[in-house]
Amino acid sequence: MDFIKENYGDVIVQIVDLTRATMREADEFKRVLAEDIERGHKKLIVDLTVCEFIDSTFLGALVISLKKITNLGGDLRLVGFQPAVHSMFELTRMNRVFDSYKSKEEAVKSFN
Amino acid sequence: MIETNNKTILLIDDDITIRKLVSRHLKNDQYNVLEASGSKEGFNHLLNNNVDLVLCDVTMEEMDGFTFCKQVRQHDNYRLIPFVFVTAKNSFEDRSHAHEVGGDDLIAKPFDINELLLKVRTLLRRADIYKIYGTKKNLQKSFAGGKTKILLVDDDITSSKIFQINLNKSGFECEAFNDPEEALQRAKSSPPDIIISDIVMPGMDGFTFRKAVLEDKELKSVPFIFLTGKGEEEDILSGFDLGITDYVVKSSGPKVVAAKVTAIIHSLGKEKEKIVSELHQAADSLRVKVVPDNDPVLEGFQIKHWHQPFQGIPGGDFIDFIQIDEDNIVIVLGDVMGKKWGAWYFAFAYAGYVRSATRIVLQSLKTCTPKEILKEVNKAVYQDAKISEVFATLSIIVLNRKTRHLLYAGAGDLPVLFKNAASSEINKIYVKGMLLGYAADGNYEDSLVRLNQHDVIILASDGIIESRNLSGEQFGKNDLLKSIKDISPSVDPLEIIKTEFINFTGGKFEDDISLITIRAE
Repeated sequence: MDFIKENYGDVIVQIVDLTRATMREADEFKRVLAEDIERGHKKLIVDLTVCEFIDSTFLGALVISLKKITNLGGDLRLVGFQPAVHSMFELTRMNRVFDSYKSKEEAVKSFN
Repeated sequence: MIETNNKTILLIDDDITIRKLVSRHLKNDQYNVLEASGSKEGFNHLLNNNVDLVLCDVTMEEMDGFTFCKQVRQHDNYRLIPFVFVTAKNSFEDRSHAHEVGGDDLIAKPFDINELLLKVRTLLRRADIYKIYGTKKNLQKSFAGGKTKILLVDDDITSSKIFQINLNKSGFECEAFNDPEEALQRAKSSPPDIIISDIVMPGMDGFTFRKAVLEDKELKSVPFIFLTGKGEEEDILSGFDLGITDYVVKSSGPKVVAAKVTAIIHSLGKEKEKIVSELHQAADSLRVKVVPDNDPVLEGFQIKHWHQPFQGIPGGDFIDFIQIDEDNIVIVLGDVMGKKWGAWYFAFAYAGYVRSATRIVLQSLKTCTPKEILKEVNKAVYQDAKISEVFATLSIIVLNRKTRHLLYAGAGDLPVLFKNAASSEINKIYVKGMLLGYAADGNYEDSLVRLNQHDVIILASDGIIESRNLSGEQFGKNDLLKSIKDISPSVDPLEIIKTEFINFTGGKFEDDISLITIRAE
């Protein structure tokens, strides 16, 4: 499995277990997040600690999911930017729409 | 998008009355006309403009039309340009001379202007057909081109060597592995065109290996052949349960294996060719375009572009050049997120949509700054519920020929690169601005650059920045800047980056490739 799910109370964490998260996995990931959102979860965290690189299509999957969940009054927050991923978010100015945290614990706490 | 009649015709005649007459009629028919009184001026026009057709007198002072035509034809770029003689010399000798030097037609003076216009139209249409046909051919070739990569897994060192040698001899590029784990890692990092695997192996056997391959989304559609020993019919049957393409009995020898592989590759190639060709037929008939045919012309600047769709399939990148008035031109580079096989049509259509939205906005705007354009395009995209789940990045530049001011605004795009010729410094221009369609207000801003002589601006899509070489390094990390450093007034910036990029990636791209360079002359 490329995506590992953890529960912390009403907060869901999806760990992306890929060093390169690209268009190959983007659709599947979009589906995984959509499932969580459809089940009514409003507090999502995506853990990117393992990712050394994400491409624009994978980023697109994150953005679509964020748009979906914020429309329903929830939020999707990010954790664990490696340098290349961080610069990708900065370059596309997406760092300003996603809240990001250093650690999973911090992100989980931010929801409560 | 319906193309307007913006073809450019070069008209060479030393008689100013004829030139004016023909030129007026051509302009009435919406052609751009470049006039020249002799061969020298004519050749200059050819070199500096995108000329679509040449009308040329024969008897001229500097050089006669036949000699001129011969010289034009010697030039690689103009071998196919429609070339028509307009002359009073109309004998059989003249006509055959015209043919010999490479002319396409001869119109005799005095001529009926309507007949001339009709000939022009016919020849231009034929040239267009050749262009499309030519591209299609190239595409199909690029698809079929290159050696087919085979990944072979067999724990028996001797037999794997023999198969490898024979497959390479048959024109394939075969990598052999004795350890399935290693082979799997290799396949993931560099997907082969076909996989051949032994069944009985210590550790991971062929079936487990096949299952692991099936779990990988990219590899699961790669044709897979089992190599089996004798008397393993049961095994073969379970192999077909795992969706293999074929099997070969090992003892039938390496030549049979090579022949089988050739047959499979052949049928796959045909299938792909068919898809690409159908796709392009559809695109041609819809006249949907995401990239312009020609580079724009703006006095004092050299603007060039290069676009290569991913695996020859039109994808999410798009480019546009829109001339607003005599002095201003708008340059657009966009990228729709997502370019998988399944999404190609959507991305393609969406790219066309954003391209036309930009054009429509431009027509209605009074003040034309990139920020205003982005604001309006974003509004249009955001309100369109059908496409609200797709996002695009967009870079827009408005360039003024007189002030030499370049205004740039971006929506979630990669920064534009600016090389200052005087200081040789390379800067990235960062602007604010959200992806198209994400928020009602994208927070766009303009950034102003004044271009001095030889300054260069570079727009590159993420396909250029993120493409990797064999050791997994990205082009955008060091090599792009290195190639920009090498730009000097005597070299074409587009060519140098393009060449470096092709060398770097070995010509194997992972995404749509788009590049635009602007240089102040």
